[in-house]
Amino acid sequence: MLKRFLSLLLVGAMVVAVAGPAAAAPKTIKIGILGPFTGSLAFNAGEMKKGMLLALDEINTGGGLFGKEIELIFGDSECKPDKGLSAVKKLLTRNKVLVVGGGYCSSVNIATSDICNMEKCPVVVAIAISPTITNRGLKYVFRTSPNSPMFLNGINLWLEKVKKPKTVAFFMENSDYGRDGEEIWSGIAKKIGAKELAHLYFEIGDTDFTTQISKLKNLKPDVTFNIASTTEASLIQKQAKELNFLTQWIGVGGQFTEAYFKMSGSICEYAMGSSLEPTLNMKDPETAAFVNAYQKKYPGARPGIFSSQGYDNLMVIFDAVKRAGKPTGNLSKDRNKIRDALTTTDIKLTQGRVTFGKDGQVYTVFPSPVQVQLKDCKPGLHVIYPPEKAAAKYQNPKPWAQRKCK
Amino acid sequence: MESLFVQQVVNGIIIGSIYSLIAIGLTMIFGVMKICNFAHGDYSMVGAYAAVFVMAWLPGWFGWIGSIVAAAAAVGILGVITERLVFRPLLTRRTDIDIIMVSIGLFIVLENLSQLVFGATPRMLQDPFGSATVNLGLFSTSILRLFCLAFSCIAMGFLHLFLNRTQTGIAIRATSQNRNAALLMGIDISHVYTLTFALGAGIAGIAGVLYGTLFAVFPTMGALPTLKAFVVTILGGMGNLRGAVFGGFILGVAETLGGSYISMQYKNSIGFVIIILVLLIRPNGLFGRREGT
Amino acid sequence: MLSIENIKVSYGKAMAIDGVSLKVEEGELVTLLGSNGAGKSTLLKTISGILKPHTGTIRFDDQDLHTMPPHQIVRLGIIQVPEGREVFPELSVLENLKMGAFTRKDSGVGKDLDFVFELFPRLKERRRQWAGTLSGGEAQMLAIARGILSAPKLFMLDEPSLGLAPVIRNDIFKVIRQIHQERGITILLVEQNAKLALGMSSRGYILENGKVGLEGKGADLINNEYVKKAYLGY
Repeated sequence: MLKRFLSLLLVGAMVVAVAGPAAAAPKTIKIGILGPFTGSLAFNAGEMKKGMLLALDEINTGGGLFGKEIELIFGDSECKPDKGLSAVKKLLTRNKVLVVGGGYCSSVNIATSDICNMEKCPVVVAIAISPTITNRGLKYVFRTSPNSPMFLNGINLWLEKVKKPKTVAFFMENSDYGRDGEEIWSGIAKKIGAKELAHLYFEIGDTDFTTQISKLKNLKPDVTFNIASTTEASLIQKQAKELNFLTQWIGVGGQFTEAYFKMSGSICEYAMGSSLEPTLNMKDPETAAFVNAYQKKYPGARPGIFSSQGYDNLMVIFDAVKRAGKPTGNLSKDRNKIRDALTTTDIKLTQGRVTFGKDGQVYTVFPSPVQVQLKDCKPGLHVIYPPEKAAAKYQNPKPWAQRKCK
Repeated sequence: MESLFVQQVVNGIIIGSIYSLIAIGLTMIFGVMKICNFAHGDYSMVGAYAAVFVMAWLPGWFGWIGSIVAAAAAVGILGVITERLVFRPLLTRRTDIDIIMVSIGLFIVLENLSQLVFGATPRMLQDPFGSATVNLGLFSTSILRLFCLAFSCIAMGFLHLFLNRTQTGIAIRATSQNRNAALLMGIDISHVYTLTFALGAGIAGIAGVLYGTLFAVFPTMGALPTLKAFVVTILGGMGNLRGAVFGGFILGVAETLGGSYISMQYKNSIGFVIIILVLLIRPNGLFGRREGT
Repeated sequence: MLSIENIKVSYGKAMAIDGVSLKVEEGELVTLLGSNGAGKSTLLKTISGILKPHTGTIRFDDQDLHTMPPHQIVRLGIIQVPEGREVFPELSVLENLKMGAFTRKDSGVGKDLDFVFELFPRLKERRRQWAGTLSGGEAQMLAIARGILSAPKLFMLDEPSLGLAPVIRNDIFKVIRQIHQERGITILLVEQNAKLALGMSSRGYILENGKVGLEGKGADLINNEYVKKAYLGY
């Protein structure tokens, strides 16, 4: 009897949770946020969310917009295109959001931005970097993050002018994110005449990379391009040590999160990427203010690239909503107004000045090539190129046996 | 070339030993109760989190050994709880599909619950060997990996002794081979079910500590081992313990060699290709019983 | 010793046993005859507790069996050798026998093991072999030997001669008679081979469509015209 009662109670609770409160006239300004909030990238999406919640605090404590509170509605993509599609459809048709922000995982965002465009709802992608997202001529699609060619521009110059590797290998996440980067770097390799020894891949969520690393070790590439996220990148570094494989690792930079440094410790020494880490740019007043506010809201946390990308993304959206004027209540009219406002965005944020090109892509944010270097065996990121921006000199990776830090 | 081959075989054997250790509990539970438990890998995840907590206040070797004990105990109890609350009520009125659906549900619940409780940030378990490595010319690996291999083999050895030398162990095997006859021997089936779940889940918990130490601990870490364990179980023959042990090693080595010499992109699919080939030739798996006996 | 009062057992909606009453006294050898589907195996399964009657009672000495789980019924000494041997195929012969003695804690197990090896020397030769590799006759021997190791008070055998060659069948019947006479074990025998079975029985029951059709002394039943026609093939 008790069992039956409990199960009925549980079913009741679920029904209530699913149904939610009855629909009413919108008292808030609703903004949809997409991201892989569960699954293997949940940690990184959490960083983005933290940055966004900071932005939300700033707006809502200042009274919101037009006397209305801003409400963020989070849609979970799990980094899977099908899940992302159903999440975005729900945001658009059921939650009736005015604009969609967030967005991580290129494969998901290529699909979701298409739907937003069809529904004539503006979407501002925060993190995914595949060029495809903004190069399809979709009127309602914007991106506050540099795309992959821009992301890699600085490091490519460094490869051409300074490193000049003779042999390179590719070890890529098997996704649009990984494949786009591979295409760009393959082009660079051809340009500088480096031999491409191998193109290897792994799947998101893999944990054992010894097969691929053993193969790489056998080929001895000067540079190994490795596009991976926090967990995978850190495990790859660890297993490279176990297998005694020495190379110059180069990634996009998205892996350089707080968790990455915690997980890999001194092992990630010499790894390189491109970064927009706010902590590298403390001379800039906007960025410094953001870092301070972030550390005040989340004591002990270090704001990484995703936190600041999340923050900037939402700030751009707020700015556009504000400039679009008070919502009329006519959803398609309001969405169009916001879309138009987005095209004329010009705002300075933590990553630099944000203006959109005709294709909706931001072209005014420039990441710099960075290298992990140790100080008292603690890893830290340092800009190494171009010389006028460099905070440290590039270091050639030392053989494992000669490294002192454990 | 030769060194690459040796290196890949070593890589395969080490990862295979972990596959075996996880699969052994899965196949045992399937053998005794005919339950396909898709939440099995999550027992490993919970075991790994148990280790995170033990190591937080007890570092070094003591912490690591304590973690193994704590993981086995905590996950063993979790296994019994899930058996009693989730699977037992279905056993009499079940269809296999119901049980599979419920176990997938359990998998989703455990994964999301752990993200809620522990957060999504991946954690590392401290390597008791201080990430020391060995370079033997033909291959390199870490002491930790060798230790994990040895530990899995010893754990499987103890399980083998238990199942073959003790009255209770033989009763578990008997129940998995013929449930009705086991009833007629006076074996308390309900007791055997509970014990099997405790044991199978407990071993998965231990495997979780090894897996977490080798790789990382995060809420979704159970998914891949579950998949591998199913491949191993089908490969070795559903419910067959020797099959699970050998199947794990075979899958591990086949994946690394296939990944290295055939195609890296299909590394994760190699297991399925092997399954199809094996099932074409031996429909009940490599070590499976033939029909009718 | 065993008394069954008007039990009814069904599989879903199909009634398999429809009001059967039956008695087995201590020291008797009672045969249960009946064609396929008459409910013989169902009756044994019900006595062993694997199936539960929805009405009626089953009593053993002064215990109610129909509410007891199977593993406790075994502990009372009610042992069944099921139809089709049902040995554990991937347990060795010796392990199978050990499972027979699963509930026993007394010191007589070793002696009983010697006894069954004497009874079936073939099993001794093959004690390390997997039971799944035995021939049909050997598997039947193992099933009976396993039952003996359970120290039965009431020994129920379900069609022990099914599918066996005549020579082996005779051996099996010899052993059944031997354990009945020498060890004084009460036996409830389900058989299709009416002549052999009734010949050595004290009493017999004939089940038809889930009901007791006839009952009587073994010798009387052999001479019954109806039995002759239906079961003995005269």
